Amino acid sequence: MSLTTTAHGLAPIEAHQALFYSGDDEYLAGISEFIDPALDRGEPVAIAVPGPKLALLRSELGDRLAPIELLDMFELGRNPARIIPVVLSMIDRSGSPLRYVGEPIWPGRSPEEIREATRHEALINLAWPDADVGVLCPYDTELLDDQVLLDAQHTHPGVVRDRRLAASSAYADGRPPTGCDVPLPDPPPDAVAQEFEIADLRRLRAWVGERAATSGLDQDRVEGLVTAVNELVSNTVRHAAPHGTLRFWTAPGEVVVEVEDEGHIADPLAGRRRQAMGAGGLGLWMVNQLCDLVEVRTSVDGTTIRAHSRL
Amino acid sequence: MNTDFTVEEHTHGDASVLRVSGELDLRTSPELEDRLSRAFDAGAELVILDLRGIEFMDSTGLRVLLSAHQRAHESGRRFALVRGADQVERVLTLTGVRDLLTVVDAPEELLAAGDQPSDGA
Repeated sequence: MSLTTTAHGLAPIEAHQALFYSGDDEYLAGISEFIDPALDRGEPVAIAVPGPKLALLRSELGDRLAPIELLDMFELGRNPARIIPVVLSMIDRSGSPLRYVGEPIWPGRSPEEIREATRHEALINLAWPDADVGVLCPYDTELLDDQVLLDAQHTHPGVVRDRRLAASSAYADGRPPTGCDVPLPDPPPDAVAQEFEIADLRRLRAWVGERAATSGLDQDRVEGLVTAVNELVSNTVRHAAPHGTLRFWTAPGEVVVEVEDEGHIADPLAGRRRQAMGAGGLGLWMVNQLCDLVEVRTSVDGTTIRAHSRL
Repeated sequence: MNTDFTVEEHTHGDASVLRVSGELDLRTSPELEDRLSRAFDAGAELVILDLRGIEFMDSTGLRVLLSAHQRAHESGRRFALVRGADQVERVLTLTGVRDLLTVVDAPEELLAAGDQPSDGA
């Protein structure tokens, strides 16, 4: 294999690899080959994969997993925007090198979730440019759609197939595939909307709280949603034009809020790293922590942020 | 003046306790920032911000707390919070800001026993 190495000796294609696997044997072999050298050197390793896959790893790898931080990706990655913050905190805590196995895209995820998880995969390439962090992302080639696998080649500089790592010719330097930024579908006809400006903050919090409570969100989640909406609305009146539009609706199993304004979010990692907590970054960080899925569409023409809270 | 936000200040020796109530958001945070600055300007060695009366706090409120913490740290003084409602605790926790700050259940935990309360300005 090649190649140019980075400052810390990790080749670019090693820094973020997609593992295309079919069946448990390839899954286990691919992960073992990735983590074994680090384990042998006594370096930190973390694994975040869906619960059933964690169970498989536990039963097959046993004691070998003892020094590894194990996380259930069903929980951690429910909102994919929460994954980078957790890996960054691991780097803060134990320093690099770090080897991390993350499987944020699994068969059965909704198209919206897969879009945001694909965006997350692209942003990984930008998240820790100078750290000695190697990431392996398993993709189930039997059960995932072809488009998902094409996008994985776009978001990963290296792809492992049949136990061989090779450079991905489709890799796009951290730019999300265009499919990630398709316009959001229109809100449903029964969405209720409020125009707002800075004087309306208090009134809007009460408005969202009442609607969320009558929609069946429990008290704790209502409080979280009110906190999240307040951040979105505050970002608008602080950074963008002095006014914007807030929409609220319910869909099967969830409550959805959306804020539309004339601003532009220039930092693709806003809300995912603490260094970006100045300005609106802290507010977006909170929204990501409080909501189950956050879809951001931003350009110089304006920004729409749609946040989903499960019932 | 915001009718949904008030600050009462009491001094105890070289400590200053700011008891705030209402909602701490983009509109009301500047007033708190100003009052905290004045407490430090007046020479308080310990500034305690009592959040028990706060019903809601957002990221602009958090930034005010962080800047007071920073100012105390840089000038070798102390800044502490009295724990607020669940929403306030949650915002402090999920941003990691809580780990940076001293948080107590009541101001008395930090005030010297002999200090006589007196109304400050």
